[in-house]
Amino acid sequence: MGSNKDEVQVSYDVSNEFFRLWLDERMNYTCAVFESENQSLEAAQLNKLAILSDFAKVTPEKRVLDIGCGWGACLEYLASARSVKEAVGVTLSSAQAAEVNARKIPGVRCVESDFMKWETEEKFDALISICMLDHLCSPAEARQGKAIDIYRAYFKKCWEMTNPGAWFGLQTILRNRVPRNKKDLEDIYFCTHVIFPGGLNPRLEDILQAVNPYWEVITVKQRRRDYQRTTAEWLRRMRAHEANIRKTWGDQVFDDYDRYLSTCVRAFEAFYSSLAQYELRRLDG
Amino acid sequence: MSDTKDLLPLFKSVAERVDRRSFETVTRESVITDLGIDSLSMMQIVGEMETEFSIQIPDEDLVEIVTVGDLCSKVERRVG
Repeated sequence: MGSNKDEVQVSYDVSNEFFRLWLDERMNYTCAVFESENQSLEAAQLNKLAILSDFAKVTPEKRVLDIGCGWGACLEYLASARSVKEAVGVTLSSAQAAEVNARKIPGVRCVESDFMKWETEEKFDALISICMLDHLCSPAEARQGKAIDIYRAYFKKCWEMTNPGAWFGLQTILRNRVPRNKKDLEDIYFCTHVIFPGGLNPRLEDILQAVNPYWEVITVKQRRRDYQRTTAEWLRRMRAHEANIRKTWGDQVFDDYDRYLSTCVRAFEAFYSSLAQYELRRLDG
Repeated sequence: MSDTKDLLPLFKSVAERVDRRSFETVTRESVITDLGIDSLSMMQIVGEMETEFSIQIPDEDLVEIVTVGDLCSKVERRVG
């Protein structure tokens, strides 16, 4: 398996208040999609959620599952902006599940579980999953040639949890090219082992291969520059709170996240990494 | 640009520059991990050889490299 519960808690449970300082007001911790030069991060995050909801063909009557729901930004968007009557989120993180359920958003509930082990009779009409797949395959498993099988098991599980006619709005970070210089190699190694232990970003060709025979790829949008801009804005906001972060959470947390976010900006600039959004249609046989 | 007929001398000079030690006794049959070259150094060596010939080796090809000769062959194939 990729990231386990302890590893996910390393990534997301520093403190909700820490992340609130530098993410947008809804705590989206994934790539936004900017429509213009001057668009705010908050508006761009809503735009991202709109695109994925459109890909998933969300309507008020459809039961929607958000796989890897984070702090519930997408669930809240579905309930408020799209009038979805029943939206369920699943996350491995205790802090995130508690935060989402404490908000008591009408029609929304959050399950604390490993999605791949989650056993439920529930079936859904629409799926959204934003950068959760990046946690499924470890670097060691990828080296052993297991990546495609792991991703295919995920797409099979998604298929099994949906009704015929379902659509899926998927977003994943992508790895492209390994750096060839020492500093970038060390920085990316640091991010992979300290900030996001256990996980490895997929390659685009891995995803396109693994969706079969469960989902048809209708649309793929690459968003590399959008993620560069998103991480640059996170870095700018975090640095604006440097004194507070150092005082409250210590120098190590600030220094680690400064290095991590700086590395992200660089990785998207140099095309070591990218991001893609996918519109997937359930293959009903 | 280097002579592409025998890339072993180029490998040795690049490896010595990256790892700051001698690789004088290395042959094409030498296993890279046995030489104590870790993945970080390996990628820098690959990068310098790519730069030397203005080529790019896909990452997925790199996992097949075991010996120094494997790496030299990957470069030789691309420079003709």
